[in-house]
Amino acid sequence: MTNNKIGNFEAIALILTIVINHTVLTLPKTIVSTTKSSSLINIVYVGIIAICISILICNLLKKFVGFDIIDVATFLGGNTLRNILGILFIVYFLFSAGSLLHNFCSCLQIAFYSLTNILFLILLFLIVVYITCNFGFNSIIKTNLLIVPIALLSIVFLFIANTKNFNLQRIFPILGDGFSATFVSGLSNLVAFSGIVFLYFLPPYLKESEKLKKIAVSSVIISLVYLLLSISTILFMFNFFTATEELMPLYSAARYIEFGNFFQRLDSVFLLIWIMSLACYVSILVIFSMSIMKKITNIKHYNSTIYPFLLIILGVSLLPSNASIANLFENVIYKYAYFILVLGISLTVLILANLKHSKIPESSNLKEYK
Amino acid sequence: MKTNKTVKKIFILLLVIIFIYAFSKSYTTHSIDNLSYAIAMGIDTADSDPEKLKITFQLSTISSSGDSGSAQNSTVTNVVEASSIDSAINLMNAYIDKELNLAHCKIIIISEEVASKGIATEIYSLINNTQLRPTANVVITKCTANDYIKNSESDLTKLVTKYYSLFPDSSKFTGYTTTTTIGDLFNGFSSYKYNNTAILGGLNNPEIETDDTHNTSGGDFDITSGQSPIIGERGTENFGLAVFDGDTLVGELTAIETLCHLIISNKVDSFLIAVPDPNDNASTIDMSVSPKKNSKISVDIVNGMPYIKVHVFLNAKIFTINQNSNYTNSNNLDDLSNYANIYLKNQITDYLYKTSKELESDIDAFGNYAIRHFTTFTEWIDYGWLDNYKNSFFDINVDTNVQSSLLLTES
Amino acid sequence: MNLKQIIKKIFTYNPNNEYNFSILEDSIGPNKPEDKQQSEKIFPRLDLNIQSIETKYNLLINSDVILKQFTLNARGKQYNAFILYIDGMVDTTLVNDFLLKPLMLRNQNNLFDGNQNKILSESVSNNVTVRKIKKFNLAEYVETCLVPQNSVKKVQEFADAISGVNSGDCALFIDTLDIAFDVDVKGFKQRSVDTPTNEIIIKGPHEAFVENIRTNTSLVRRIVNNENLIIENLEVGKISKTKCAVCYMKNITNSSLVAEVKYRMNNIDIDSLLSSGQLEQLIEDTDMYGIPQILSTERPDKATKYLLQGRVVVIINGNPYCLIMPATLIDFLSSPEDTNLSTLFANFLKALRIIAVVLTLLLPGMYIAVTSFHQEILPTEILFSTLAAREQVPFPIIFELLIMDFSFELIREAGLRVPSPIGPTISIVGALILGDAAVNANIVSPILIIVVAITGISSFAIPDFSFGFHLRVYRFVFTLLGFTAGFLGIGLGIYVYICLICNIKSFGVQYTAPFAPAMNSKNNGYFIPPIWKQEYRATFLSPKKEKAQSHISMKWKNN
Repeated sequence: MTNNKIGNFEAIALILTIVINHTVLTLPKTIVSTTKSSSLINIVYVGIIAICISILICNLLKKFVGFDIIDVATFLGGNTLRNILGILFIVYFLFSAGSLLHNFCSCLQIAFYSLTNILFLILLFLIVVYITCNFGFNSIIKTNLLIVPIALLSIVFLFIANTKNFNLQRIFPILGDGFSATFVSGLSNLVAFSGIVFLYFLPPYLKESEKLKKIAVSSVIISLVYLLLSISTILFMFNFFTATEELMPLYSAARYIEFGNFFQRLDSVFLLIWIMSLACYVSILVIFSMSIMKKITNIKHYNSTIYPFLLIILGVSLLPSNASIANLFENVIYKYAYFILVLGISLTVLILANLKHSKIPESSNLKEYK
Repeated sequence: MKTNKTVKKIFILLLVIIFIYAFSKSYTTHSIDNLSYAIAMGIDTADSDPEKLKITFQLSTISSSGDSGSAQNSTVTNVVEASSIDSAINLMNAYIDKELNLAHCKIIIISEEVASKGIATEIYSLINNTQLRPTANVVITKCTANDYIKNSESDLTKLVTKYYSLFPDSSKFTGYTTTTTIGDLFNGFSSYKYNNTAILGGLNNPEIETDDTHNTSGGDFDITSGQSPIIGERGTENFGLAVFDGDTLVGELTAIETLCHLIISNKVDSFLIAVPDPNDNASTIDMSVSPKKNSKISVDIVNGMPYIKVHVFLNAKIFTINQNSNYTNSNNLDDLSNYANIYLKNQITDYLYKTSKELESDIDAFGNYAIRHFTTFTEWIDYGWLDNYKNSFFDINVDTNVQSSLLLTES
Repeated sequence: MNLKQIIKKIFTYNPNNEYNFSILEDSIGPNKPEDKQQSEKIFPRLDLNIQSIETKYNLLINSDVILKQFTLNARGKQYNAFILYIDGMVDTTLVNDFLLKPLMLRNQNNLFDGNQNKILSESVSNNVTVRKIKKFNLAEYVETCLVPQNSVKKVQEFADAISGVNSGDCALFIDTLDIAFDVDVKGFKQRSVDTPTNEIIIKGPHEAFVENIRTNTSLVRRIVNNENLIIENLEVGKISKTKCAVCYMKNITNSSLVAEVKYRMNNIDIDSLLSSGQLEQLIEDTDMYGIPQILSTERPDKATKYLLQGRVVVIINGNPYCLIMPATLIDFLSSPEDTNLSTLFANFLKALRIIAVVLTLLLPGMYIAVTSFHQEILPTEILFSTLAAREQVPFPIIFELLIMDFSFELIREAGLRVPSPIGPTISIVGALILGDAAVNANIVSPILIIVVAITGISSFAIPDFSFGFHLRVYRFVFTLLGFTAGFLGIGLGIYVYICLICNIKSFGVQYTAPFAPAMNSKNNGYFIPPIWKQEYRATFLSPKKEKAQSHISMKWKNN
């Protein structure tokens, strides 16, 4: 607990894991349906904006060495603001874990386990999350470091193995639905870089806090490359009408892989890798929620808070009763939550805290806010 | 502490049992002991009711003959009439002892009759099925699908599944048909840019007379399935392609027209053409041709009408050697190149005008090149490429470089 | 106990007592620069010599270096003297009979009356006799007359005396002499030790440890050949008082690591310690998971290789297996052959072992998962031949698999205990039973035999016995997971397993170092570079001497 320092590579893997897990599910569908054939240009554009935002966040956090957003909120508004912000983030994490679990398990149910109730699939995930959260923060971060490269490689392999099915002309018309659709309403595709949310929580855990900017920029660039690969796989393989009609586009793309007459239908192997990566991601979300809870409530051992969190995730994942509600959760509510909480409220808190910090005398001790 | 540990152990044991029970329900749908695999599926119109479908399933039966090494696969064909594919599968499940599974279905055969009425619903429902591979081939047959399946025993390989996987690949070196998978069809049906083709199959029946009004400029290869001069053990053959407009069958391409289609789309590695010898009307000069590089296609919109330029680059080597051939003389080689250019240009022009005027279907995907002139998607839809394709004007250029003959250079 | 107490017991949270030990950068002990062996001459005074030797050999803590003081009789006079030797490396009979006896006991030689000097020449003048006498030279006298040994050398510097003692000689120091004698009395056991029974390699030494702790320590001493090797004696067990030797290199190993090992061994409260396996279980970090965290080996060359890297080796009396700690995942998959072979072949073998680990752990589970839930992966022809083979087998796949697995384990266990005359018979019987007859009787299908056979063979390819054992046991868990939930179960199982091994620490070192947490392994990772590139010792051990060889080690090539 006291020895929770993580290195640079672990931090990068932490931010990447969000992108990977959302991309495997419905993110490409959302992106391609908003911007159609100009998705690639749009992603590059949004990526540059994401880099700027992450540099902004790092600069705002520079004055508060070793503080995360909760500590900054304590500094700005005392305990009230800290509690509010903490609870908002916990709700955000648990909600995204729940909706992601539901989407993934419904795809698994359709593909392989048609007669099993989805409750058991989700329960299996949650039991595994319980077991691994008991091992502690460090083990999960290390496991994540080992699993993220495998998941990245799987997407690269998917891209390379499908090149013979690509039709490069599908990138035209180059501006898709028009300039405003690509660049203005296309800004909503910023949700692809939702990994930035972990930047707010990283500083206390880093061994070398001054490397935060480097970590942020490199992870955003790697997620950009990764997103380009996966979006181009889908864009070039499918008509974008068909691309938006499928449950999990990358899974459908994996079904086309064929090496001679021997290796066919390798989609189950990809699902194996994505299952590991999703389980790791949910564990990370839960353990971060637990550590936020510890900060808010000052309890000594946070291990017991896992029970209510797991129950909340179970509840959220069982909420959607049909595909349209699940779609609503993943596309609408998650998007708005990301923009309002991560980009809106947190950035405001950081900017206000910086203003406050510039007004107070230099001699005051920041450590008392931790 | 002790009770804590035993309670924990009992709890874990209970959990394991519950999970095994919960997941075991899925075994019956997925364990290989309970499944029977359809390797081919055929769709016809039902005899009794033209609105219904008659589905033929070719199932593999597994019989091991004592010797654990060899397994002889014979197949069983069952037919059922139903209003859709999924109800047909349902009815068939009630009939056969195991559950039908489409995971190893290699080929889907649809008769001409069904295809001309539109097959979008069938293809979409098949793609929606989690079991079916998107790489399964689709064949449109001139006979009924049932006859095609029945006559499809392979004579050179024991396993008919091998035959199904291998024959579409023959296109790489002949060019008379090509792989069309159900995934391609699915992509093409909802596309605004191009139309689909499918493999054309038929029965190899030497008693049917060939149509005399055929244009014989294509020579031996101006045939479609059912018209070939082959007499063989197996009853089916696949020559040519079926052409779709949207999801409806509108026509077919002969073998030589298929070859032109594949040359333009860069899908053939090498092929043989028989150029008529201008000195001697009866004989032909056979050449083995391979593409030098990808064909250059450019599409311009002139006065709202497409103006399509195609430039094909080929290398050729000569098969036919007469007694007086001399293939190191550059004049001879240039002459042969000219003959080949003229011959191919005629064939390709005929073919392209057929697709444009007669079939009104853009199967060469020229729409992909035309779309570069439009910046937004709405403009493209407003232009309506597929409707305007029939007004296209083609400008073909063939550049054949006859390099040499094979082993002999002079005789 | 009533309901309230039961509920309380179930739902109260009891935090785990976490024992957190990590190797810190060494703060204990000054980091001495390379000792320039100053040519230290031997002192004429015995007590100075004794002090010097005590410092150099750390006599107070080194248990097998013996310094025996005695009184030497020469020419009727008595001198103080001492001999220095290493117990276990000298032949004690030789030392007693041919060194101590002639020097200590009174006999004809040393009772020679010293007043008779040798007269060299004599001349008489004026009634005064002038004689030239040869002075009595004690050193020459001892060497030529008193010590009936065939190989006696005079040495004038400490370095020479020490190197002699290190190789098994006995050093004799006499008061008033500024030289020492280096007497050859080597008597350690050579090659009466056996070849290793379980860790056979092709191109290396074929010696193995034996039960006697002194023989074992002498084997280690011989190979290390350096005075910085410390072998400390500890006793474990109240009744048995088993001798254990903790070995480490003083100028390489991190002191906090050594302190931790000794702390753990000194704080074991048991009656008797009879084997190294028992000690391993008593001092390792966690034994909940069955994953080994301490290496054990019966080869002295492997033990010394790890000693020189900066690890601690514990030798237990009565057991030929020594313990090496700390140990990471990479060490369990390395064999001592790897440094003997060219790196190309060594890396090839290492890649092969990784595949063996994956196959041992996952192959039966994957087989069951694929045939129960995911058969579209199998190519059509294989699927049909599997179905044809299974046609007449009455059992479901999981039952077949469990039968075959258990029979394989039974045969393996039986093979250990079968008396040697009928040893070959059991393999024939096993092959017949498992192979032909079962398939012909349609109890199992032939594909399953192949799966089980490949799994079994892969488990034999793993170098470390306990590591392979834990994989064999976990394989059953994965089979159950694959049977329950297909790839979902296996994927989640792999995730939990990776999390498990990332959680384990072995004496303060992460089990998965240097991969997670990511650190610069300095060419000490899984795939090893050529030997001239392995400049540094492993960073996770925090050794005192980081560089194991200079940047250009092949000076003959690159000057």
